[in-house]
Amino acid sequence: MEKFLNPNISKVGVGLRHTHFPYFESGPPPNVDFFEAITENFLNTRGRPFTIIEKIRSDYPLALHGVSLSLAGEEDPPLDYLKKVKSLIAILDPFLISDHLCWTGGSAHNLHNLLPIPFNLETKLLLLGRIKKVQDFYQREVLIENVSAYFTLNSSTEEESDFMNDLCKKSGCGILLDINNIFVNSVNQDFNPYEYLDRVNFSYVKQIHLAGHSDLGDYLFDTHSRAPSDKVWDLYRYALAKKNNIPTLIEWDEDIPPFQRLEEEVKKAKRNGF
Amino acid sequence: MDFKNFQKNFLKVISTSDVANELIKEIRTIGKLNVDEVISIYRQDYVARLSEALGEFFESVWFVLGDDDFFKLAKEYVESNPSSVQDLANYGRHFPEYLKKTSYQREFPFLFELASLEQSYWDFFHKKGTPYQDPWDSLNPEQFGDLKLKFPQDCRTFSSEYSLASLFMARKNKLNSSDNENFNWSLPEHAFLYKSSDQVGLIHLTIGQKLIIDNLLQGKCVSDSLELAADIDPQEVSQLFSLLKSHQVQLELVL
Ligand SMILES: [Fe+2]
Repeated sequence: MEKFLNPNISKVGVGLRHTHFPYFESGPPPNVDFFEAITENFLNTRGRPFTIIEKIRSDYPLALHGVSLSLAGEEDPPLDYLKKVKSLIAILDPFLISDHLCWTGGSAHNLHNLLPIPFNLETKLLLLGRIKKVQDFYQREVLIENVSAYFTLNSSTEEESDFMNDLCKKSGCGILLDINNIFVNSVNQDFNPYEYLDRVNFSYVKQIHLAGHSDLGDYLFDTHSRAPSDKVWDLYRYALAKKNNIPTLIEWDEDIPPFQRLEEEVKKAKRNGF
Repeated sequence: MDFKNFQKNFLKVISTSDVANELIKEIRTIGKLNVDEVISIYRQDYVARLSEALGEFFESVWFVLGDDDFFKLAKEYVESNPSSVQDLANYGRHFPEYLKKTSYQREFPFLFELASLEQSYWDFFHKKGTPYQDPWDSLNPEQFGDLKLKFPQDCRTFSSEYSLASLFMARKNKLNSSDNENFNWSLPEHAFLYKSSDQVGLIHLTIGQKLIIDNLLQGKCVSDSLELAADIDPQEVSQLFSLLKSHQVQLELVL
């Protein structure tokens, strides 16, 4: 394991969740390097959540992470949505902007889930056009995250990792690599997660997500309801050996613990998972 | 099947549960699961995610109905009202109307009103607040009657034949659903919902106090507002103004 230890400590952040708002208002300064906020949670509010995020932003770097861009959806992302995101970007000046390599439903029926896509030329052309449009509109680079998928599509002709590398090369986007999603998929879809990491071009990887999953017996489910598992930490070390200093986020979205528990995971990530 | 058609079929199957043959051909399942089972992972997640959102916005309705009935109703609503929003906080705009048509409205005839009150609460919550400035310091008591009170931040009064404000506060104070059985919701109530700084607050009012605020909200001056609420006890009047002051309700005093 020693060979994976990285002398350069990554910047490690946590998700900004409203359950911790009272802690931010009265507790000690959070011991994290950055926060990541769900973009959509701040598009239609100028109330208390917005006051808090502005306060957080004045003290910490912030990443904006979207869940509704639906890059591979039937229709282009709606203009009013893009405009709202752009004005949020102008106010909060995030150091990273990301969304997912997926579709989320149709404009009349949003499933609010990150749905799998076929990795083939047809989808790639669709995504290249969309990513370029979005980046041109925001005037910023966008990172694309690999998702957990409980099925794959028979019309896929490429590996997900190759597909993402190619998207980055041709559109100028970056990769937000979710190590837990790779692990969950590797068990469910039966592939070797280390080989997946070997295929990723790490020069495109600008952020990492780490999260916990649940074993439901027949399959692993990406619940974000606990700390990352040992096997996910092993993969994290393997990834850091390829490129160091990648901003890393601890995601915890269900059964959210007290903030101090998240700070422990942040410290652990800074020790490369040990 | 091209990806566009796949998406159409997939969306259909989430709401109808009939799996088209084309989908079966295109989907490669995981582990020992079959196509129905992997689709139901997504179907259940969809219903759970949107029902949870409804639970968050309508927690007083949840408190009244209890877990089983609330989530049964939420599931029915989600299945018949597909989401067309990007931000889940905007989902469920028609839930209060939907409650009117359910059998629960017969048992709890205030459900629609309660849900509408919660909707106002969240609408106010997400508006920009301004820091409280005390308007009373600079007040010349002799001019009080001629004053008009402007409410620069969001606010509204409401009246109900039922104990809506108490129900709403009970839930905000995190009583458990099991407490709802001891709750007497059959007392008429009047209240004032307001935004002050970043907080949304609620003040219980007497009928007279509610009338005065309604008059003030219509732009009438203090003495006209009091006159129109003729039978009101002077003690209630002074209590109303001290409530507005102690709750830091934002006001502009205009002569
Ligand atoms: Fe993630």
